[in-house]
This record gives sequence, structure tokens and C-alpha cells, in this order.
Amino acid sequence: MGKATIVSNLGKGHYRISIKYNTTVTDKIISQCTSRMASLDTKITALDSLIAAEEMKLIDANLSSPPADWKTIFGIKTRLNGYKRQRYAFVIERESSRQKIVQQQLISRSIETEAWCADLTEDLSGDVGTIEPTNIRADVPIIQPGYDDNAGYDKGRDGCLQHAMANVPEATFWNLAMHPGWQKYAPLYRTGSILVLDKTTNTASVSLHAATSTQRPRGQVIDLNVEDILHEVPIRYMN
Amino acid sequence: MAVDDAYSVLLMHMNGEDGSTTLTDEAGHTVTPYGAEIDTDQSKFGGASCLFAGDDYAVISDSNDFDFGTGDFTIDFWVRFSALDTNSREIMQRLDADNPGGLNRMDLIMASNTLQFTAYTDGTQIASVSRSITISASNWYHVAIVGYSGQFLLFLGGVKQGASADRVNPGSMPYSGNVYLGKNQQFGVYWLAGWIDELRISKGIARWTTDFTPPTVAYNPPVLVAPPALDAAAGLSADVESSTAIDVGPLEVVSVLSAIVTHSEEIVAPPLLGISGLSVTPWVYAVPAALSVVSGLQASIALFRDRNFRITYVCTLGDLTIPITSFQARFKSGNPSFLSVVVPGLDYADDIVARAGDLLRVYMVKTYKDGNVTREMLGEVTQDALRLDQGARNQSITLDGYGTYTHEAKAVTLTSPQYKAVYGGKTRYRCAPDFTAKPGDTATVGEEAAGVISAITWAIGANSELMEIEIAGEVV
Repeated sequence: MGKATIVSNLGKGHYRISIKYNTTVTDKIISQCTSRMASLDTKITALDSLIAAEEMKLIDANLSSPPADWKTIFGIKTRLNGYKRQRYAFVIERESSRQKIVQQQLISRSIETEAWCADLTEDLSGDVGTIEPTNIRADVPIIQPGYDDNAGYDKGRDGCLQHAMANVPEATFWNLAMHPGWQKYAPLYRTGSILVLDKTTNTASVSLHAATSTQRPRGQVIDLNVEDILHEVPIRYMN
Repeated sequence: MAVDDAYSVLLMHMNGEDGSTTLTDEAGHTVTPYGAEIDTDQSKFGGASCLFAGDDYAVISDSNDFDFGTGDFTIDFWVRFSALDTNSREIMQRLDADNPGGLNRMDLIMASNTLQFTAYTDGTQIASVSRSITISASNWYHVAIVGYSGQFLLFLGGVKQGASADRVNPGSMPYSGNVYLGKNQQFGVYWLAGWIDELRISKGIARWTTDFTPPTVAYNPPVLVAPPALDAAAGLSADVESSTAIDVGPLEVVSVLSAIVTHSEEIVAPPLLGISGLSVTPWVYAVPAALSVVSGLQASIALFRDRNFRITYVCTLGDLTIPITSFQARFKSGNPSFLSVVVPGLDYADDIVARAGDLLRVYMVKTYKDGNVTREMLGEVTQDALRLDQGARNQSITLDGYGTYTHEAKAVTLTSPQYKAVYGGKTRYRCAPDFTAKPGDTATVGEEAAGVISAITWAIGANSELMEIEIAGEVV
């Protein structure tokens, strides 16, 4: 499931599409980091001034005649060290934010590929929904069947792919951990071949194409077919 | 070399060839110039003086000779300024190297209108004497600071400046630290622009307590007059011309008296021996407090391996060697490798940020007992993320990076296998860390032909050291 835009019509239901990624989180991270950097720049500049002022006080205190007492000097040094530590922390945080922005900006916002429409509809345009048969990005996507204007992008049905780097680590891990189970026990789409067609009940027996998970925990090959043949699969005719 | 008398603990004539960077103390202290040099253009005595060009200085090594305690002392010298205004110029600063914040220090400062002497001991001010004077550039001035019976006296041109000053606080001046000429080492400011000649520090004597005529010649040791040969006639003694000094020959150690023993800072530990029935521990870890400099690299984590060599892990970011307390890595050949290092504290924050995106490398360095050093880079990545961690008392910076590189494959033999695991179509060995092993190498572990290394995992900390190789395929 995903969102794509028709780039060009290659004929006979074959298209060149641009798969769009959900960059909401990426844009938000970049915005937050940019804002934070601006805030830190202000704080760092202010601390630079405070540090310079304390350093001058320290020099003056040491060279005044008579020199300032040790408590005064100790107080200046304590403040100076505190300002410097805070500045270092801000400098590191600022650079961390900058590198986070760079990292997020490297994330793809779209990729182009070729795809067939599921029912070979030949006049699609604009945004369409996509199908990844075994729920992985590496699948060659299929455009939703275009009959009855079904192929148009539907956010609730199609969702939108999101780059793993655009998510928080724990969410990415959760998705990754749940992925094989989702592929096997709650697939949204699978491909198969009709074995027996029952025109009376508008059902069919379907032989699922063999498929294994892309994940291999400890080398284990996970067969995605719970059953090789599905019976009484409802059929919806185009006319 | 010789000083003028037994009280002089430092005497620098500042003589030599023009441009020479050899600064000699007749009392034998090491003097290291940092830009300061002998100049024959200006001189008070001897045809030369020491030039400080405004960003030069010299360092006299720390010595107990400069610890005046509560006793008398005298510091005197000639100075000529090439430029002078009301801004302070540091003639001399003694600064405690272990406490550069200035709680133990002594300063002698001059300006066109000020002569000032200050001293602190453990943060307590002992001396603070400031006198208004009038001096100008391009003239030689004789300056003397005298400690006398618990008071401080300042002389300019042999004239006592103001009254004697009492100590601000009682106590001695047990300073330690180098003596810096021409620079305020504490702040890196107040550079002297001018010349110094005939610098002398005298301990145990107040050479002047009232106005005096400045010396007209350099301080030289007394001329020893050899007594004439005695024409000894039996029963008669010849008159001996009196000498201005008595030449005492070197004292020799007399038999039955022990000479002074110089204590060594090195402790030689006997080899560890195995007790019957017990095995000798093959690994001895030590607290990595001692950071050593190895081959120009600042060490960070030192681990001691048996008695033959020490292992040190060193990290660099670009051209910067940074201390680390731990690192983790997973190095592969032809696939992205990951490296994460933890830098203690925040002192390197600016340096790290200035090198953001540079290559992050870790090295293993072996230092053998005979002094030989070998080192090898374990891996390198491009730094691309960093994080600040702050606790109640400590902070650290974590640097991460990824990188892809390949090695020329070779065969390696790894020793001391400690652990082997076979699962998921892969075999993993933990063995003694070896910097020769690289991803892509064909490994033999102990007596076992393992296979091609697909990845090497490192987890190194102050008290732990782990290297695990991963072999693609099950080795049974």
C-alpha cells in the first residue's frame, strides 16, 4: 500500500510512476531542528558575551591593586566554568541538530519505477494507490485496479510509505519485529492463480504464489503461505 | 658556568651570538625559549641581551630554588622596552603547572606608570605591592624586588619605591611551577616587547634594603687568586697573599658514610608466577589512568596484556586525537561499518564540532617492554551523528559514524578462543583482540580453520575488551 503519481503512460496499462514517501515526520524534524539551532545560536552568542565578560573580570581581579581576594576570584572562576560548560553543551547540541537535518535531508522523498495497473486500465493519471503484494518496498508495485475509478489514491485505504530513517528508532524496530507476522497472518494483498471458478456463487479457489519473508531471523526461512490454496474467495466482476 | 655567589640560584647574562636561541642559566636550570632570542642590537652588559618581540617568551624549568618560603630573596634584572604604554607587561610569572588557574603564582608586572609584584599561595594572597613609577621605552632600567624580614621592597634604578610593604597574609611562598619570562602564562596576555639583561634570582639574601647604585658590571664569579708557590723552608712559612675567595674542592663521599640515594619513580614488579595447582591469569587489566603518548598519538584506553606488551586504543577525528573511554564497532568489508566512540567531558566540544563529518578512526597500539611500538587502524568511518549525555557530575559526547571500505584479503591466525557460537547460518568466535584481523580475511582460530570473516565486532571499555569475528557459514 502506498501513494504514487503517474509520471507517464507506457500503454496497455503499463505506467511510469513516482512513489511518494510520507515526509511529514522528516519535515517536522527538520523544522524543529532548524528552530532549535536558531535558539541555540542565540544562547551561544549570549554565553560568549558572558564568558568574555567573566574572563575580563578575572584578569582585572588578578591585576588590580591590591588584587581581589580569593573568594572573589573563586566566584568568577566558578561562573566562568559554568558558562563554558553550558556553552560546550549547546555547541554539541547545535551540531547534533545540524547533522540530524543533514541526515533527514538525505532521505528519499520519492522514487520512480514502472508498474502495471492490476486490471490494465489504460487511462490513469494523477495520484494513484499502489499495492506491494508481500508488503515490502522491494516488491514491484502494482497500481490499484482502475475499474470504477478505484485506482485513485485513497489515504485511508492506501496509506503512504515512510522511510525507516524518518521514524524514531523504537517505532522502526517495532515495525521490523512485527513485519514477518504481519506478512504471514495479516497480509493486505497477495498474488495467486485461480484454480476453480464458481460462477454461481462468484467465488473461486486460488492457489497462492509461493512467498517467503525478506527477514530471516537466525537464518530461518519464513514461508508466508499459511495455506497454499484459498477456497471460496469472493470475486468482484468489472461488468 | 658559575654564579656570582652562593645566594644566586639563577643568573642569566643573556649573552651569545645574535639570533641564538640558547639561553643559559649559570646556575644550571633549563631555559627553553619560545621565540625569545639573543639580540646584539641592545645590551646592558656583555654585548647582548634577550629580545622579546611582543609574542615571545621563555620558560625556566620548575625548581625548588625558586621557593622562597618566608625567607629573604632578591630578584633583579635590567629591562628595556621597545614599546610601552599604560598596559601591563609581564616581566616574569611563576605559575603552578598543576593549578594553572593561578592559586599558586607570582607575578612581576610593569607598565609605563606601574611596577607591581604579587604572589599567591593556595589562593591566599601573600604579596601585593604596586608602586607608581615613570619609565619610557628605549631606556634601560634596573629593577629589583626584595623580600626582607617578611616585607617586600621594590627598587627602580636603585631607588626604593615607596615604603616597605608588609605581607598581605602571613605564610610562606611555597610555589611550584615554571618561571615564564615575557608572558603572562595564566592568561596568555601581557606580552613583553623589549629586552631583558642580567637577570638574577637570589635566595636567602636581601641584597638591598636601602637606595643603592645599580650594578655597573655583570655579575661574575669572584676571581680566584691562586696562592703563590710556597717556598717552604724548613721551619718557615711563606706569607700567602689573601684571596677574595676560598676555593673549596669537591666534597667526596667518605667511606662509611652513605651517599644520598636517588629514589626512582619506576617500580619494577616481579613477574607473576603461577602457584602450584593454580593457573596463571593470562590477562591482567589495570585501571587506565595513565595516559601515555604513543607515536604522537594521545592514548585513551590502556589495557595491559601479560608482561610483554601493553595495548592502547586510540581514536582520531580528522587530524585530532581525542580521548575516549569506550568504543563499539562493527566492521565489515564492502558493506557499511559502524563505529561509536564515547569522549569524556566537554573539553573537546569545539574541536569536535570543527571536524564534524571528518573520518573517525580507532587504532590499536602495542607497546612492548623494549620500547618498540606497533599500531594498526582497526577501522574508519565518516562521522555523521553525535550526542551529548549529561549526568549529575559528568558529561560525555558520543560520536557515531558509518563507512564502507574494503581490505585486501589475507590469512590470519587468531589465538585464545574463548567462545564459539553457531546459529543463524553464521559462526562467531571471541578471541584475543588482534589488530591484524580484518573483514574479508580467512581466519584460523586456534587449531580450527574457521573461514572468511564477514564482520568483526569490537566492544572496548576501561575494564573490558572484546573482539568477536563472524564467519559467514556454519563451522562445525
